[in-house]
Amino acid sequence: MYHKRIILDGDSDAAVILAQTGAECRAAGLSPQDTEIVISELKDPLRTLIQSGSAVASSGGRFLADRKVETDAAIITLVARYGVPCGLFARLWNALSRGR
Amino acid sequence: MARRRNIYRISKAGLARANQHIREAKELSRELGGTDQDVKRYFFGLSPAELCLILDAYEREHGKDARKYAEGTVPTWRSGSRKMSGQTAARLFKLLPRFMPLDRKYALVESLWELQAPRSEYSIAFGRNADAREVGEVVDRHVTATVNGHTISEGLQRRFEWLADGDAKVMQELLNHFLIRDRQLAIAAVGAEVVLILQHARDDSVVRAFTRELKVGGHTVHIFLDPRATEVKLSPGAPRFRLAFDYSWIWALVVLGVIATIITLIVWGSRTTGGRDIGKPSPRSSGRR
Repeated sequence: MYHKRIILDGDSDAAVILAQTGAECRAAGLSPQDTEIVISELKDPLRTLIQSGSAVASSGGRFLADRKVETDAAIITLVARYGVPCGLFARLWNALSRGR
Repeated sequence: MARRRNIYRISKAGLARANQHIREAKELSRELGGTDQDVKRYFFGLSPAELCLILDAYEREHGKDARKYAEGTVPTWRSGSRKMSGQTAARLFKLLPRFMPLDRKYALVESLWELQAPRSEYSIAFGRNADAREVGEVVDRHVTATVNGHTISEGLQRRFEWLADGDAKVMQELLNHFLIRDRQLAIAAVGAEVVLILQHARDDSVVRAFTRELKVGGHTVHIFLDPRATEVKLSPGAPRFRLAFDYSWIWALVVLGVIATIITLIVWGSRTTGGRDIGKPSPRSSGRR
């Protein structure tokens, strides 16, 4: 089972994340069909979270939300963090989480 | 004796005139809402053609001599080498709004609005099961009741009156510009965001926090999602809630702990090695014994 946690913030781009996740799924040994299912399940929640987060953050608001996307072969957790000022430790954490 | 009395009379008359000028300057400052600097900046920034129009009107109201005096002293007023008398300033500034385009009036009031607008702070909490329309209605009702013409301070009212120059329609336009327009825009924006957030809260997402500040003039309304709220609730002050706990700092704490442990071990190791050296009896001393 492939596990991934994706942190979404003001710099997140849905297309880039989807391409990267697809590549990582394949690298983790998922079949092309499974990878395709993961990407198609991930697409909508990812886009709506980015859209909502950006809308809230652009007006000075704060939006924190988690969304778990589960398929037979993978569990992807989307963590939206918009309008939250990042401290040094949080940035370090984000860098570590993105690296995983 | 007669001469001395004459000097006394002149100085008394001069003092009375000076007092009158001070009174007029104070009255003007009061009429301009206490912020006459931006009005002076506007006046001194007028082009010669614009200034000529105002001076024509000035001449019609106060005569040729008054115009000549004003015309001659404007450059010295502008440079700051001479101060405008209260009477002249009052007369000139009274004429300004008639010649001022509406956008300049808005710009003048805008800075004052920021400074003098009445202030309040409220919070509106809603739960996951709230109806977006209900949230919108509470926000609308509160903002409409708080941000209205009756809450404008006396100073700001005077500035509006001065800028409107007795024109009720202009006065209404100014009020609408700052109250109604901003209010409606802010309410609409917040309403759209609440709809989005409630959609997330109802599908499979776990919305941990949503806060949004609505600002109209000096009024602030914090709109936030409270997972425990069962109704849309309005309360005074900033929201009292805690964000989901952020564990990101624990990693850094672990790293710092490891570094601290390594340093302690090194220091402790070097001390114990040094201690052994000190504690060892030297062959000389043992030989003496």
